[in-house]
Amino acid sequence: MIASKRAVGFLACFGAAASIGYSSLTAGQAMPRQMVKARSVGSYVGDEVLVKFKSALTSQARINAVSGFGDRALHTNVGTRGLTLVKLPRGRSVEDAMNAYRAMTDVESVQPNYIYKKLLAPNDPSYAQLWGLHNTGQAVVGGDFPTSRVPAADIGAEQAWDMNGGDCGSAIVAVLDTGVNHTHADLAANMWDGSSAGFPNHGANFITGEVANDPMPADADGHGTHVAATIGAVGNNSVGTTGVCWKVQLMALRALTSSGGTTASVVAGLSFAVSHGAKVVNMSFGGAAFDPAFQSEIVNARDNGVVVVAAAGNDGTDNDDPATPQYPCDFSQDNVICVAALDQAYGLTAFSNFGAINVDVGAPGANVLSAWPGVTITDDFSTWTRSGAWSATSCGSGAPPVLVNPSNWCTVGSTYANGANDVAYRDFDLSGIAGSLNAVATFSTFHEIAAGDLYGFARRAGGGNPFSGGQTVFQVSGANALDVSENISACIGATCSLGFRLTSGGAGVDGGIAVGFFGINTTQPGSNVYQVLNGTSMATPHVSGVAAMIWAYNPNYTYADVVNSVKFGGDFIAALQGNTVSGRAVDAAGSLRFVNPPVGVTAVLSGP
Amino acid sequence: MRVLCVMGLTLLLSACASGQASRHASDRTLDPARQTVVSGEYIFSARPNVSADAIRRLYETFDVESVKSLGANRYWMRLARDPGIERVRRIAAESGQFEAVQPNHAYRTR
Repeated sequence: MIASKRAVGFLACFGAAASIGYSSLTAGQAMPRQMVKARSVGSYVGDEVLVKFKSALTSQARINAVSGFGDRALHTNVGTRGLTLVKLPRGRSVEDAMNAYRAMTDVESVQPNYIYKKLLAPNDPSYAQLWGLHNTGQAVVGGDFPTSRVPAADIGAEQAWDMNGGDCGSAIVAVLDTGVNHTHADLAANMWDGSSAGFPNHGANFITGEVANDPMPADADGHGTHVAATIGAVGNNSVGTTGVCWKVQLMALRALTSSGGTTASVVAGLSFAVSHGAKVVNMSFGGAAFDPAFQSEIVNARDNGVVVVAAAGNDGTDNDDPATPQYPCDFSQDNVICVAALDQAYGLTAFSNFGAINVDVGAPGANVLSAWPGVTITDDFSTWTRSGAWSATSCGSGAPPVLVNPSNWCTVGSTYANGANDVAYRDFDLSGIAGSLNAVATFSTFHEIAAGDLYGFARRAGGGNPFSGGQTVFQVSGANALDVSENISACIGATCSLGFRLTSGGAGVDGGIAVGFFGINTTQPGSNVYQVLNGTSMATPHVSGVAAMIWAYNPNYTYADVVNSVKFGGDFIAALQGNTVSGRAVDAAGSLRFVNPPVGVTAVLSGP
Repeated sequence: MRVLCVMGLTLLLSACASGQASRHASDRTLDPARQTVVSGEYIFSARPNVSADAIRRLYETFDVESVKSLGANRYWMRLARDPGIERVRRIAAESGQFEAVQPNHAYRTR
């Protein structure tokens, strides 16, 4: 994912590209899409048409013209354009009537009398924020990915819910990810019940050293919870958000930590999903190397009729380029659907990977609101206690706050001093998160530390200098750029100090340390917390939800039928032409209506 | 890299870091951020009836830390001393007990 907090930086690099994507869409896509949606609300009245006669024609002349075809005029002045509503006799089709009226010189236009009805919308209080399900042109609160907004650029969820009530309950969808807070208020009722198979916690954990039968995110990583709720947050329950599926069976499989996963964990997780009845497996992750063991498991999934939905990746690169492949997206098995991320105007986001061969469809992937494991405490370093050359600053206008050493770290070529023993820390009152299942300090860091010098992170119960009587969590030297996640669950419910130290000897020096985006993530029982994120990880579960919906709607479908319906039931989008296999954004209603071509049908012709 | 990062720390914490997974700074994976394999870890596709113990014996010279079944005759192994994929493959091939050996590739959330 691309966390919202990073979007500012992201934009600095790619804002121009995002704007280009929007322009190409608004030029030609918004209106046609809206028109398609109006027709798709339902069918038209089977024995009526609306005719616009030239205004010079009197009412009686219109009636006579209609009667001449054997039709009957029900009204001759409908709306400000003065349309004539025509009733057709039994046996005369709307198509025949339209052709006949079109041929008249006194007729300006003719159309079916379309049927409109109230669309099914859930009562969840944050539903109005879910532009991917129903785009009204709304601004998403907390959404910081810059995008224009085009109403109706969405997956057509309401039209689909009109057809199936959001019920995907017969489908098990495995979320192969960082785990799921299965106690979340908007997820608990939609979790897979694996108790009879020995998995009472709604899934399994494939991370070595953790509790094997509980997929709760031990590192408070919220990625999997967010993904799960986009697929299937309980709909119409007056709580938070809704998923693409209002009702579904979510199987939580923890195969990645906040550090990522490996062949071993994802293969074991996928194998579990297939052998325990999952029909769809969501994979909002990726790797850069061809992986035969993983591919073999994908084949096994296919042989068992399971659809795999995978994220295209967030590098803004071409997955078809041999230099920048993404797996599992680039596996050639036809049960894999690879998903790119679209913004609120249905432009391809600048961060999204693409590929005319390996990326199949697009889906909403920017400013996506969904469930989160617990509260997050953020910090800007402004109240930290600092000694030596530590400084809280910002490297330019609009740049995020950072904690740096040396104080002029932002100046290229600066170095820290010899003989340093500099500490920066803050006391955090964590009494407000009492009862949390776990707590994790997270931050991004870039360091260049000379050999023999040390950069450390420590915590201390009760507060004060954590390097004096506290516990050192890490001490490193060398150069690296990292997102760090350290468990501080021991601090839950109490005051705890967290801090950094730079110690240097008398020999060499180097560039020093910068720390940013410092925060504390928690996992809370019964969480009712939500978060906005960006990424192809967020686009992927929209598609998994649609795949589950198709399967629930058509229980006899094969995996190939489901894949076809997803790929070819969507809407053509300019931004996806040439960038994806289908050129389409996934559309739930279109996919439900998509009729798979019959296979194995033989026509026998006989003579007269 | 430093120059890029200074040009609006966004780069430190976005372009420089957002493409990388978060991790425990103290773990063994505190390696180049874009690493695509976990050092010292391998995945075996074994022929039928090959056990975890057989793998332990085969690689005991390299201080086997753990061997775990992944199902379907597949095993994961972690070595304390990593001889590299070529050596691991050569030993596996000479034993005749395996169909394939590969590194344990890294995956990250997107």
